[in-house]
This record gives sequence, structure tokens and C-alpha cells, in this order.
Amino acid sequence: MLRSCLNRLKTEHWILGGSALLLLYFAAFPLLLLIFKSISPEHIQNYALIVSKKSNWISLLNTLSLCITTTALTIIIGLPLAWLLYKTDIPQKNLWKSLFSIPYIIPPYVGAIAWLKLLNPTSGSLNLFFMKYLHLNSAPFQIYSLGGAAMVLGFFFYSFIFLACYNALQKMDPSLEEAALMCGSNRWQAFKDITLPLILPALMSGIILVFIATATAFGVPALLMMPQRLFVLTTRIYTDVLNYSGGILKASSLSVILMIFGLTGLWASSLFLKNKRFTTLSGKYARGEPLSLQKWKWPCIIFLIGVWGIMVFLPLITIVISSFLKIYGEPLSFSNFSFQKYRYVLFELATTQKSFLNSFLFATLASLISVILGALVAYVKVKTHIKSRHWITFLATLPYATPGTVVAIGLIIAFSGSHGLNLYNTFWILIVAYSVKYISFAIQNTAAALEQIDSTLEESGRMCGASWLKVFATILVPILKPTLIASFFLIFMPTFCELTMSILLVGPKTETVGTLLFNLQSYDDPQSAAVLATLIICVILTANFMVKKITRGAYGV
Amino acid sequence: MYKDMIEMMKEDVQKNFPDMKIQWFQSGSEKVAAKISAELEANNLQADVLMTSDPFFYIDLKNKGLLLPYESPHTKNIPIYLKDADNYFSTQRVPVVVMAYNRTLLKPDDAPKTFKELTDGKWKGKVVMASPLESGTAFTAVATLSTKYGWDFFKKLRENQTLSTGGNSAVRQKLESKEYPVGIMLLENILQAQSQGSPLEPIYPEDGVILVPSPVAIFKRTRFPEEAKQLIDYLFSETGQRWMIKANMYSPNPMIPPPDNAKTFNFVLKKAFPWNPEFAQTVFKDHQTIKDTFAKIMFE
Repeated sequence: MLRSCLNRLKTEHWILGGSALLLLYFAAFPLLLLIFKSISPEHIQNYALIVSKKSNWISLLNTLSLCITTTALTIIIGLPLAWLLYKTDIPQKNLWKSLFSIPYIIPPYVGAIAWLKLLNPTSGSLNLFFMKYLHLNSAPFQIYSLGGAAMVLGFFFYSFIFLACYNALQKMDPSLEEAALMCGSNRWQAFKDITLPLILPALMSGIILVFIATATAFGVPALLMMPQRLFVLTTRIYTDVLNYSGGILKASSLSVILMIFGLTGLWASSLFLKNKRFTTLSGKYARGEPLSLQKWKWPCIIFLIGVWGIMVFLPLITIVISSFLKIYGEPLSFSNFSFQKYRYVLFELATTQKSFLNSFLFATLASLISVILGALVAYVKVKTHIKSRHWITFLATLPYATPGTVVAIGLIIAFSGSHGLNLYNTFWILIVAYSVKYISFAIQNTAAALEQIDSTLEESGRMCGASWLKVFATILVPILKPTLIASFFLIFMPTFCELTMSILLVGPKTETVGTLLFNLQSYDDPQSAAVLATLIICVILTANFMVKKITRGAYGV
Repeated sequence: MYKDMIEMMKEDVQKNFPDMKIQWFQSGSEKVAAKISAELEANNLQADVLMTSDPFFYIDLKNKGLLLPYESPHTKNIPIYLKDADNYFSTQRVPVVVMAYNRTLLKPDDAPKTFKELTDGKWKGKVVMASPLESGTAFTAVATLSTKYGWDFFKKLRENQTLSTGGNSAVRQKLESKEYPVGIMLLENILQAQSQGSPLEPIYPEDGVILVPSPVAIFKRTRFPEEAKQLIDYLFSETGQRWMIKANMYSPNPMIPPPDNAKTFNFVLKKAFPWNPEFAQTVFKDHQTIKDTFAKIMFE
């Protein structure tokens, strides 16, 4: 009986089932364990305590408005950018694409430090500049506000929307739009009625990522909102409950609320997309004729330069300049210029080199695992009719919708040996953390791409007698290749400098770039941190450039 | 513990104990405490020796029976009130919290002289301090000041728009970037900044300097108690203490000179708010209330 059951299980069942189980064990189990602990009789009263506090409701509201403002900003920036850079004949497209992708690879809190230096109300250089030349009596910008935090987050997270839409446009069959144009609709109508609905799944997945990333962001609201006593859920968790006397479980109660928050968004979006399945790729892959900008060419170029200059260049150059300062608050001048911090970080600090190697290794492994596992889970989600498939992807998103600190604590409790596996203080726990945190990127992206692939492709493969594995490897993977590789980079970049989880998970031998940066910023001085941030940016940009060079521009961001 | 100090000390320690292989995990005291708590929750404590600047955490660990008592012969010069009565831990270095100002913004005569003075309207919107929720030393400062002046002191600071944020280096940054002229921060960070050419100047407040006696202790779980004890001996020896001085902290041993450019330990002790095990015990018991009250006053 058992044997005949087992015989009926084919390779695909083993592979898909196995990957789902792996995902559940590493991604969902630690958090469910934490939730379970938080609702145990001795801790359940924490929830009553949380609900009864008005300040918690205010931080919930603040979280919501921060999410909405940030998301709106990222759509306004990201969507037109993707369209302009993919669909038109603007010169140097690839260069622009790389330039606008830079924020994706820099931790937002580095940007927050830069913006703080530029826009703080008393000594921010931009504020002083405007006050001097516009003869203002007070600073025109108040960076310490919800708007300030939303701006800084938006200037980073727009890259999620931008890259998602750019990818979707890349995979869209341009003849659909051309057909609309030939039938007499104008550009705007074609965009609104054809392009927008087709890239909507990708746009939505981008929006979800931004929304959740904002809800779980800690560094930026801590730096820019806490000084004005404005709290969001993450900073509330931090200040209210996280301390050494049993704070972990109290914090997890509040985190469960944050999780619910993220998951509701996810559920709403899945409702929204429920009856919208689009098939736009039928095996053909073409770019189509770019739209000629003609007289709009120069205004568009100037616009791009301006937007990039403010959003990306200004904070970057602020960091680079800081790294050369002898004294932090003084302007850059000959007497205030020094390489001393470079010498310290590069040669005197033994951990610098090791942390770069560590981060490279961990991020590569985690991205590989996430991409492979994510593709298989996405397949389960999109192409099968297994009843629990939505649950699996739902649970896979749990770690992303949970603040990093809580994920890390869950992993420590789950994988320290008392529940079987012991990964603590090994580099595997970091890899597990990175993989589970970002696997939803891979799942969302691959699922969005799979949605666009018509099942007839697969069916024809099967009809010709190919096994499932062969179909997957020879038909789906080649079509998905751009998405898979893009997902790899989408995961590699944020994990390379990941901070919140790493800080609790690194052991004596596994220090990463992110934790080193944080330690320099918190316990050394801002210039050393700026040196490391500059080095990180250089290394990532060079790596990205080399990948693009080797693959002739096909991959990299 | 400071990264650069650990880097310097590491080599020397290895030279002294060629047969030992020591792994160092370095981070801020709150991060170390969070890591240890998570490890305890998972029943998987890793460390053999603990060295952080949060004296109250050690009381917690002692009460939970996690520490191994040891009295190093080198601790005999250390004042009794800086040692645990049962030898579970002992103060190995003494960071002190003082005030600092940016001399490009204030003249020495205009700088505040006491903590109390910061509630004066003159300093409205001009003072920054670290957050006791994020920094162990700031917590000790808040505990000390609230014991001496009561919570009214902080209510007035709040009315005076005093900013409480981040750790000590955040305070340093806010002073150096000229966002705030005056700050409450660790002396060692001011001295370190000065040695790098920063325009920060220390103020030893006349109404008291805040001591943060920072212990070292051995965990009971260690599989190498003898080696751990040797390491403790090293840390209390003159060589070990020199590293602390180099990192601009005071030695609890009166025989050891103060850090460069700092007043003597005796001068500081004369001005210091009193420290004793009873005070530590009380603060430890109330530590949640202290944090909550502070958060309520300053953050809501």
C-alpha cells in the first residue's frame, strides 16, 4: 500500500514537496515557535498590555502613514523612470539604469546619515545654503519628521518599483502595445490600457516589497523620527520592550502585530490580483521599436540628471566627503583633509578584509539558495493546484514581514540545538537568516514571471515526452533566466550589507560588512564609518560593472 | 568594548598566552546583552568571559547563578565598593560620563558648569544626550541623575527640548556637526575625539561626575576555568590596565595613572556621585521602571 503510494510520487513531487518543506522548516517554524511562545499562558497578557497603550496605537498609525507616503513616492519616482529608460530612445540607457539602481545596493541608514548632514535644521549644509541665498530666517527643510523619513526611504525604495517594472517591461510582448497604437489609440491610452495592466503584477509585487520594507525599517525612522518623538512600530518595539529582562517575548508580541500588518497587505494584494492572470509571453522575446523622444530628449535628460543628482549623487558625495574629513563638522578644506581614516580602516583594522570576504560568501550562498528554492516554490504557487500552495507562499513571506531583530531571535531559539538542529555561531545561521528574509523577493519575482508564461509551452514539452525535470530545466529555466539572475542580484545586494539580523547572529569568526559598519558608526567615529561605506559602494559598483562587462550588459543592475 | 582597543590588546594577549586560542566577540554592551539573553533563551550560552560596561547586567547574571566566583590577586588595590562582595565580578575599568561642548560654538566661560544647569532656559534646544534605551552608559547616567535630582530634573530637560537619541557616538556626531553645542557623554569618547583633532572639550560637572564601573566576569559554564582565570589576572595586571588607559578609561586601581589629558582619578572621585553595591542593587531592581519612566517623560 505504502509502496504503491510512494511509487505514484514522481520526481516533481519529491522536489516541489521537499522545497516547500525546507522553506517551512527554516522560514516559518522559527517564527511560529516565537508566536507560540508569545501566546503561552505566562506571556499572553502582554497583548492586553500592548492594546491598552495609546502610544502603541499612535505608532501603528504612524507606521501606516509612513508606509503610504513612502510607497506613493516610490511609485511616482520608480514607474515613470522604468518607462522612460526602457521604452524611449533616451541615450545611454544602460548607464542610466545602473546609476538609478545604486540606491538598491546601499543600506538606507547610510543615506539617512548623509541626509541628516545635509538637511538637519540647525547645521544642515543644504538648509544653510538656502537660508543664505534665499535670505530665510529659518531652515526650509525639516528632516526630523515623518515626511523626512518617507523622503529618505522613498529615495532608496523606489529602486524596488523601478527594477520590478523594468523587468516586467522587458518581458512584455511589445507587439501588444504596437497593435493598440495601430488601432488608433495614443501613447497614453496604450500605456494606460495595455502596458500598465500587463506590468501590474510586477508593480504590485514591487509595491508590496516597498510597503513591507517600510513597515519593518528601523534605522531611518530611528534616526529621523525618534528625535521628534515620533514612533513607528519598529522603533516602539525597540524602545518599549527590548531589553534584557525577558524583553524578547514582549517584543515578539508587538512583532506579531507587525507581522499581521504586513500579511494583511499581502492578502489584500492577492485579492486584488486574483482574477487578473495575464499571458503576455508566448515564447517570443523582443524589445520592439523604442519611442522617439524627439524635442523632449533634452528636457528628459536634464530631468534625469536633476533627479539622479538630488536623490543619489548628493547623499553619496556627502558620505565620500565625510570619509576624508579630519574633523566631522568642519567643511572640506586642505587642512581638514586626511587619508588617516582610510589607513585605519584598510590596514590597521584586521577585521575589514575578513568581513568583506565573509559577506561576499554569505550573500552569494544565500542568494543562490533563495533563487533556487524560490523558483520551485513560485512554480508550486503559480503552476500547480495544490490546495495549500497559497499557505506556503504566505508563510514564506512571514520573515520578510517581520522585523529583522525578531527573525534573528526566532532563529537563535529554533536552531540552537534544543529543537534538533544546531547552527548557532556557525556561518550557516547567517545564511539561513538571509535566505528566509529575502526569499520572498525570489518567489514574488519568479511568480510574476511565471504568470506571464503560457502553460502551452510546458504542455508541448510534456507531450513530446520530456520529464517534468527536463521541461523545467530546458524550457522554464531558459525563459526565466533573466528573472532568476535578476533575483540573485536583488537578494545579493541587500544581504551583502545586511545589519539588523547579522548584529545578533554573528559570532567571533563571522563578522560581516554590515555589522562592522554599524560598530564603526556606533562606537568609533562617523568618518571611519564613512570610509567603510565608501569602500562598500566602490566594491559593489565595481563588481556590478564587471558582471555587466563579462555578460555584455545582460546581467547586473 | 572598543574595537581598536581589542585589536591592540588581542596581539599582546596572544603573546602572553601562546597555548590559548581566544575568540573575541566585540559589540556594544546592549547588543552583547541581547545576544546573551537570546543564547540563554535557547539554552546555548557561548562565552567564557564577559566584559561590558553595564554593571547592572552582572547583578542579573549573578542572581541567575550563571557566574563563576574568582578573586584575582591583582584586585586587592581596587576599592571594596567597586567589587562584588562574593567575588562574582569586579570592576576592571571605570568609564565616566561628563558633559562636553563644541568649542567652535561656545567659549569655555559660557559652557555649563553643572548637570543641574542644563534645565536652565539658556540651554533650551541646545543639549543632546544618549538614550538609556540604547546605551548602557546612558542608562547609568539616567539612573544616577534621577536618584540625585528626581524625575523632575528630566521633566525640565524635556521642557527644555533636550534631545535623547542613540549612543555616545551619536552625541559626539551631533556636537561635531554643530547641531547641538552641549552634550552629556562619556569622557573617553571626548578624549578620543580630541586626539583626532575634534573641537570637543570636556566639562567635569561640579555637581558630580557619573561613574560607570565596568566589570569583568567568568561564566560558570566555561570548560576552561583555569585559562579564564589567567585571562582575568592579565586584565587586572598592570599591562592589562594599560590597555584600558590607552582607551581613555580610568583604572579602578589607584596606583595606575589616568588617561592622557584627563584629570586624575582622585579628582574625579571627589566630584563623583557616590557608587556602592547598594546603589547598584537598587538600580538593578528598578531598572525597568527607570527605563519606562524616562521613556514616558522624554519620548511621549
